Amino acid sequence: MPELPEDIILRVENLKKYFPVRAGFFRRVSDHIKAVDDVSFSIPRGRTLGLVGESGSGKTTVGRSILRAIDPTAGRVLFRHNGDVVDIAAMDRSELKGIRKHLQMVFQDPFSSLNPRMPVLDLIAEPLRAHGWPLAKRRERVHELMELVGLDPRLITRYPHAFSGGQRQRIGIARALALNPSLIVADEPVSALDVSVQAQILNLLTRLQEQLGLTYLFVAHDLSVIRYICDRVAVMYHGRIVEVADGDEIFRHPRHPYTRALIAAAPIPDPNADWFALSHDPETVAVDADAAERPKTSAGCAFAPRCPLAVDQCWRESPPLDPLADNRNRLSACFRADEVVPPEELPEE
Amino acid sequence: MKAENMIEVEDLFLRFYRDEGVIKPLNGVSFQIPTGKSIGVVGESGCGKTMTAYSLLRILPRGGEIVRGALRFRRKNGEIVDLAQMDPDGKTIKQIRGGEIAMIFQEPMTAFSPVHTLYNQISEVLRIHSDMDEHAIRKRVVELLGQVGIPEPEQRADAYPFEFSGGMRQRAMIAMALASNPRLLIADEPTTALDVTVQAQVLRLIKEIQGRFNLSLMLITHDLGVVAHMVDYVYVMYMGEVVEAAPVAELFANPQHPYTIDLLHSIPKMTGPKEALAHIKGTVPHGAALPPGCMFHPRCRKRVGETCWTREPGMTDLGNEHYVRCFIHSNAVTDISREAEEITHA
Repeated sequence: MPELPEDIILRVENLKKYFPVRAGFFRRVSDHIKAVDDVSFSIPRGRTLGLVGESGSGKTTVGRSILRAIDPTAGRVLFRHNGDVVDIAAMDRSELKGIRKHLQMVFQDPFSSLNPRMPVLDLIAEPLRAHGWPLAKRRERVHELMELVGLDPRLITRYPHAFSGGQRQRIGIARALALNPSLIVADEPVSALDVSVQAQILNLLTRLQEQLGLTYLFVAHDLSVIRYICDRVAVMYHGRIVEVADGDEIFRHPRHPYTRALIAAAPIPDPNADWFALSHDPETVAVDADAAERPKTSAGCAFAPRCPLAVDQCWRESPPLDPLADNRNRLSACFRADEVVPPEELPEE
Repeated sequence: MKAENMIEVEDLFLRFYRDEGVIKPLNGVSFQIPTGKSIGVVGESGCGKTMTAYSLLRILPRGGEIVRGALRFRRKNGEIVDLAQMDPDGKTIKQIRGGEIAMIFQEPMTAFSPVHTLYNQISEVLRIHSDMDEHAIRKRVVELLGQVGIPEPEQRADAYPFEFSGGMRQRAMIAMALASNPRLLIADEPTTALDVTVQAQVLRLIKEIQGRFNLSLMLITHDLGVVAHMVDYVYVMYMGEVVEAAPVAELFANPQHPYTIDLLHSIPKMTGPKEALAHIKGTVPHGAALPPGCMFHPRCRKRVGETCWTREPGMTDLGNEHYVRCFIHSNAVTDISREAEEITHA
């Protein structure tokens, strides 16, 4: 049986997911896209790890690999339940069914993730039915869940079209909670919602975590949302984790040039901050508009083409994700992590 | 019409007559854009931001009818026309649409045709709105692509939209919007589909171009962080009405409408202590069932009593070009604000 420290509920080790690229008449595999390339992290029970990155960074693929919605190419996904530690990546179909009720997913789009022909009762009870609950018990449990997520149980017979985006996301959360999971993977759960409603859902997720002792893997692109809800943050770029740190630290003092660029680019809701200067600071990110399109070199750091700190070594070698010399609790995959300075001019409040 | 204004929208009402009833997306919208200035229109989805833009261009979905109001626009030749009175398929609006008023859409992948090259699509604008010959058109398209920061424009002009990244596609869309030298640029959530690092670059491009060509800009966005850096003046919309209007610095420093205040408080912050996020209870009601009285009262934390659901608040002038549609600030109900203070932030 694999080992796992007592307080850790999930540990991902060297996870890889390569998608084959086929070309030519015989559709031979000519290359691989490394959507997830050697990703490792762990989450303590009851905590929230944020996985942040831009589109194409591989954050969603990591989430899906953990739930085995897709099969990883390599690596281990160690998960603790009922005192046992299991490797989800190595499980076969029948074993997966037994473990899946402990891990659930909340999806991004509350419009396409709910079957429009099912009433709320059936939507939320779907996982219960799959696990053989009788109707009367299902109905009772759905009632309870609707109250838990702040939906009026009288709406139990209504169909998704009768609900707003925020209410649909509550339905999605209730469904994820139906079987009392211990870990929830939330993939951009608020990015399709208006800010006012986004705040409702974030507050709901926080309350549920306290109430039920849930552990979250929270995948998002919005840094301010990540900061609000996460205890620890992992930043992904081109399939790799480039920086890991505890919640606020990463925002106060990023130690990877990519994290710094992300923070500087996030619009600040304050007209007095010179956001354009901040987000276009040549010391933050290569301002060349085309830089993002330049192909990454196979050997070096994926961020090197856009990195203002890049030196020869960065083009030749891929920097490992190592603990920082001055803070063993933080990791950065940068040869020059010590020289990354926080974006200045960020207004202090 | 005031001499400095490029466009004046007055008391605009939009209706959709559907089998299930009358949908009321716009309920008396008024705003103006001075020549060379920029305004932001903010609010949640369903507040009528996009419908306002579609009304200006008269590209409303089937069944949409402007039932009241004026859309006065100053044309290139100095003539003042009312866009609301025009035949949406008529000759004049076709000259204005794409010619004098251009629009940038949210999703460049769906706004472009996937089977034509960029050159094909941008040159079409010039064929319709100018009398250039083929040679001049080619030169102009390449020049435009260069102006919006597309590298190697001579070669990239013949690429298809799918060969471009999201940011590059949005740049190409800006080039297309600029092709006919418009006077007014409407940008509807221009960077919502883009990654944050690319968003900063595209927004800076829009701002640069607005300044360089002295364009009037109408920026529609749900993102208050974006609007803070892009425009001179902000209109906050709720259920097809402007509920607050102010110069951008004033609006952020001194928001007055409960809706604006709650919107600003519901954005998670990047610095400072982590506070509990305020949220606005409920959601924007459906446009077929407008609440009586103040349309925001069912969700309002500061509502003060019967007045809020029996009477419709008018716009109160607070000075400094700051206007708010709320009884708390109307002189007619003076003792209300005191009560409101006690209820606030309970």
